Amino acid sequence: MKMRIKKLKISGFRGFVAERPVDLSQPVTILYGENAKGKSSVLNAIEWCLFGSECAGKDTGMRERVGWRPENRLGSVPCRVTMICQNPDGDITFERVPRPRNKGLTISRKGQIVCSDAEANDWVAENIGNFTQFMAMVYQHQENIRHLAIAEDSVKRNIINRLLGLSDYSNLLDSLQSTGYSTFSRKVTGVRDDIDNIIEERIFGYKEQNKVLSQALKLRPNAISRKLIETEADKLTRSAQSLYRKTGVKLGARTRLADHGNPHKYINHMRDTVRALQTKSPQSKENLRVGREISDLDYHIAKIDASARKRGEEHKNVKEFEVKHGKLDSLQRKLNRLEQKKTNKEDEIARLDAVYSVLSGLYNYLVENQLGIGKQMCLACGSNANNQQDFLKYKVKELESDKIKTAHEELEGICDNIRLVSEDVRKLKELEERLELAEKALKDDLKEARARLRLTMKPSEAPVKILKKRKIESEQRRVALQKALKDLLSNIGKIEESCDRLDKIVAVMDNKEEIEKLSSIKQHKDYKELMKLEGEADLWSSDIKAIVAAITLVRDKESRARVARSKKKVSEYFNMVAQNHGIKGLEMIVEHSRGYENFRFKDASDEDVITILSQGDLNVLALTIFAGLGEANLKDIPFQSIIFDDPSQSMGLHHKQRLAELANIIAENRQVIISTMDSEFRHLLEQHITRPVKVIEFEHWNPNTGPELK
Amino acid sequence: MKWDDIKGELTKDSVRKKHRLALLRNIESAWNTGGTEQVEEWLLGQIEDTNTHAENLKRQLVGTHENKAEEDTDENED
Repeated sequence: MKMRIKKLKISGFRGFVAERPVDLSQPVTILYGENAKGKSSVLNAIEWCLFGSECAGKDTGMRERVGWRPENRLGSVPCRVTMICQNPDGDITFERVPRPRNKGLTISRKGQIVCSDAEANDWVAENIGNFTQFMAMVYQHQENIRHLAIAEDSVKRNIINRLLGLSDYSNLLDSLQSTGYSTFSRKVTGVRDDIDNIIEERIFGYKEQNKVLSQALKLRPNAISRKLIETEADKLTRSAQSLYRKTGVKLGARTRLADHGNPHKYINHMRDTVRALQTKSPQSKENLRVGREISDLDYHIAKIDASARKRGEEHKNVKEFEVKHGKLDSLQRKLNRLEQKKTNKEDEIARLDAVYSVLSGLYNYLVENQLGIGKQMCLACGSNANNQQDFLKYKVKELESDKIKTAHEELEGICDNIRLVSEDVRKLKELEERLELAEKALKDDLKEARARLRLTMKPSEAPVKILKKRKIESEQRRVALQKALKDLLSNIGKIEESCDRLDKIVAVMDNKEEIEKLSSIKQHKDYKELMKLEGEADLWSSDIKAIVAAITLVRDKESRARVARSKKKVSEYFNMVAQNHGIKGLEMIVEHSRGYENFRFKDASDEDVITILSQGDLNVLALTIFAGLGEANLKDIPFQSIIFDDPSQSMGLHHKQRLAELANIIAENRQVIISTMDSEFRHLLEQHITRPVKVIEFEHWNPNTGPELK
Repeated sequence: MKWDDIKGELTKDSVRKKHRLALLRNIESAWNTGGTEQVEEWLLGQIEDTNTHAENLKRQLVGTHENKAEEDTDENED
């Protein structure tokens, strides 16, 4: 199959919006225009139409292709590229629209669909090759040319690999290396080592624990066995039974080792059982009761003591008052007497008041009638009396200022006495009432004590004395009980010690069993499986390593073959275009180092020429590798086209001129499509190319319609 | 990619020939499905599966032992 591109129809793709036909039917087509006018979109449309998503993404090795998308950003016109190719058997039409999973390609001949989608992709792969090959021999990308100048071996190697169409091998090898397959089996070994370390550490830990426990038990670890646990457990059960018998308490069920699932449960049960005796035993209960009784006695003794003290104080107060003021009946009598005296005095005053009234009336009469002056007859008795008026005046005054006044003063003194004696009576009555209350309280306390403590006592007996006697008896009883309890606690303690000892024996035995289990892990099927996995991982790593070696070998053979096929042409083209007199006989060789191939360009003096090449010469070298490779493999390439994308970058006039001459040579055998923004180069091409040339000018780019082609 | 040539190189060595060819077929299939990303994903998946299996075995071997000790402690607390 020998194809040439005749025509493209592009719509909604990259910089194209409305459908634009691009005529590529001439042997040489120059796409001319400034940057961002749509030239590269035409070239991209060719590769996308054939390879779809294969020409996007990081596998292309081109940085600008990461995140690359075919659809026009405005998206107003559906994306579609139609490419009509000339073929000896008739034109073939490729048409692609974007579809998921790289579907969307339709191939037709003479208006009939030959195949579509995955089948169409397979057709392209079979008849045209893959994108990498296309990139190596048909479409020279700008990025490959620019990056060849970078001196780093890895980058240079990648670029040349790409130019040679071998980047798939490198990409695959890189992806295999990136998985870290070679160190992978070490991870599995690491897991097994972890297990070994865990086993070792745990066994060491258990053995150390057993050393300490054996020393505490004063037993050799070998002497500890399940049989010993049974024997010790029997002893423990018997001790507990004996203690329960001694204390007279019935022992509960499940007191044998066999009654429990494991020794730990048995030991805990026995420990709880014997500890329960501290509260269950009769001595404990009696001790508790006696303690409570002593406490009650203390309470009542204190209470009765306080009541008795109170009663004594009240009694003393009454007695002291009586001594000072007399007893109540005496005070009462004294008060009666004073009341009588008061009545008498009041009668006396009444009489004196009557006499005074008569005498003062008579006197006033005599004064008013001017009688009783001198010697006159007394109107009262009829006898003769001298100066009766003066006599009466004297008598009235005597009564008023002496007798009546004295009588009133005496009455007042009696009343004062009555008030004092009445106050004494009131106070004494109050004291007697308080005494009565204190006596009642004491009586109540005694009654309560008798009832609470169930005391019987004769009236003659002093209650507090009886209570104190009873307390002494209780305290003596408690001393005896506490002695018994101390013995009981000592016995409980001994059994608890036995429990602790048995606990340690069981722990040693458990540890021994764990050691046995840990020691047997390496015989476990899972451990064996892990070892098998480790071996498999090792083999797997070595398998991948062998595959990597095989891929490297095939790639190297391929690269050598391609270099061998093309190096004559490359050298010829380079010498023609570069005309660098310092370099004689450029030789392209492949060397190998640490699994990588290094491409070296030597001259006749065996010197590496890359380091002495100018930027323009480096570009020439990249272009001549590309052109030489394509030319040398012409018979194997289905596409009889070669596409240059801005090939004249960093070149001077002479380089450009000779590059135009080279394009003319290539055009003899292949269709040439050149995209350039370099007007000088365009004119040089037009001058030097002898075959028919079509120039398509990209003058203006409109965001709504896309590029305008002229 | 000349897969047949790579297979040919692997066939030259009789060691684990079948395994290696089978592995290569898987790599080829991944490559054809999704290029380097698919190859990496497939290989890393293989590595991850083996690592996970190894970790599971470790847990069964020494993790079970730890769990057993914890169960015993719980029983004692009961």
